[in-house]
Amino acid sequence: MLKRTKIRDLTTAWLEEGPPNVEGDVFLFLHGCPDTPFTWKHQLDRFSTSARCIAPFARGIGESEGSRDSKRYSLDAIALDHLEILRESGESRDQSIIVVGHDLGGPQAWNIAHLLGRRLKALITINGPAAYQMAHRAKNLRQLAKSWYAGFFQIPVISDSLIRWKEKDLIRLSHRVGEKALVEENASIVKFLPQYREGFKTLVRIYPAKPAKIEAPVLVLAGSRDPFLELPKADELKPLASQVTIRVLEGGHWIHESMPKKVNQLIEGFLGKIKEKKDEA
Amino acid sequence: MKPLSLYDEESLIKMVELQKATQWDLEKAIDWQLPIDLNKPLVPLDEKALFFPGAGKEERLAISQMMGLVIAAAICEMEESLIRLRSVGWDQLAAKYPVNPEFVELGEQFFAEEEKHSEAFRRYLKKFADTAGIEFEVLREVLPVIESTKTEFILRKNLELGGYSFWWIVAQVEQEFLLLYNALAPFKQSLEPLYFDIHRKHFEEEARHASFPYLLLELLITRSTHPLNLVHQKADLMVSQLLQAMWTVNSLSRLKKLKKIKQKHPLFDALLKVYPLFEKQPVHRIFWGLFTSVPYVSSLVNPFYHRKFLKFTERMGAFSIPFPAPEPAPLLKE
Repeated sequence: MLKRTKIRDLTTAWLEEGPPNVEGDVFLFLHGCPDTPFTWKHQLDRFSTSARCIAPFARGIGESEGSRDSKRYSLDAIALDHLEILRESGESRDQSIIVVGHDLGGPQAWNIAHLLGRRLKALITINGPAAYQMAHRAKNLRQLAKSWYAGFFQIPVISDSLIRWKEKDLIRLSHRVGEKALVEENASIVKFLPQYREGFKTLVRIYPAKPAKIEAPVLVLAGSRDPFLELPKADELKPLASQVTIRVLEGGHWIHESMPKKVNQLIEGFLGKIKEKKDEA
Repeated sequence: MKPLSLYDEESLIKMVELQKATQWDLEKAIDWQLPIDLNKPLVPLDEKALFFPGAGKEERLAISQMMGLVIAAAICEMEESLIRLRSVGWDQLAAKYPVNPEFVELGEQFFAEEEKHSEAFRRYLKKFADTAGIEFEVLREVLPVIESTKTEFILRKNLELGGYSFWWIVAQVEQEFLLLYNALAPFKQSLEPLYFDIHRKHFEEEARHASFPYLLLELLITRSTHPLNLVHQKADLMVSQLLQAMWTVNSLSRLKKLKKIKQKHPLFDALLKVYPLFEKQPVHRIFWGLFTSVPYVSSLVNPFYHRKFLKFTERMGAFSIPFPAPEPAPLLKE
């Protein structure tokens, strides 16, 4: 179900599925670029049977209004938007939140995880590294080669006009090489440019600072054939969270679309273990 | 059971659980109170008694016992070397190229079991030395050693440089352990019981985790981001084969020291009596035999003895030294 509200003067939309329970867990699914929340189709179908699932549209995508103020695209502003969406959708302060992020939704997920504090039940990223991870990959030539486009996006006017000129082709190309399985006609790259630019500023700002550790369990899923990201290493995740489980699947960038059964099964297993531990305690 | 696969956590979980359920306890699974029967051979010999054609009954027993001790020491040394190189050869790699927690657990079990195996063989060697009245340190002088050798130094450097030679050796040696037990098993009744029992227990666990080095090699070759990955992929198998051959020859040449210690025990003296039989043979025949037909030795250095290993090297696109075709010699009951 599509829902919308005004958040700090901007219309913000999200998909909401599942029972309107006030006690169970809430899933917050954050999509990446070039994508929309419909990328979570298989996960929404699966997890909305027992929990409420919220999948916001990124700023400027679908019915979520864009802004001329670039600060509205910063990681912190996006996190505030997501908190507001959770509040608007009736989430109570006692409910546990499971944040799931893919691609650009990854850094957003890591960021909001800090703000949720004890309400965070689990953080799950799918080919979506934290900003800190990306900042520390600055000397990794392979990652730099894979992320060349993010550098190109930093050139104003030129990148905007060139991408506008060939946007549909570029989207198709990225979906093909990233092994996206679901057809997405309404994706955009241009509308994500402010997010990439603000994201780059964040990387410069946080490097080489160490972030606070997330205490909730973290599941990091990665595709072995991801053309945009290097595979995560245990060492680079150690400073970010106390309990990290890394799983590499034989797939591309959109593993939650191309192998949904497997990804859902891994998420379920991971959440089941958290429950077991909690029950034991 | 489904074949193990790096990315199939279900098959890995099953293997981890199977290993946990069936692993043996070093103190309880082996009867360490069992006395060593010095009148029984440790390993069956071929017609030529390895390199000593024409050796008498007493000498064949001495050769068999020395070969058995050499094998036990080699296993012990190899497994201890595995533990010494663990940090650079496993811990760092598991952090660098994660796959899933099940694979890490499989690796942890592998190392724990290898440590136990080396302890079991070390205990046997000590017990044998005690029973035979030989000082353990004197016996060690003629047995194979890896610690502080150039072989281990090169393997460590190779690992530090992002290479795979170490794991190629482990993969082949694991296959050799399986082959070794299969060679001993038909002669169970005639072999020294405690020695055979340790090999049986060793085989049980090795059979379960023989796939681990293959999985790790596959992981390294497919995931390594090292700039020299292609060079390592192609050349490191040959490096490992060269090191293995050199180490084997060096280990056997340690038997020359028997001359110095012959007065320390009748076993050494008996072996020295047949030494002229060995010296009579042309060097080229000894070397040829070493790589083709000598039980327990040829199969350690010649990859053609291990089909699974050979297939895997082909799949990984690694270059191998062109070894001659094996000519396995039939073993005889003493």
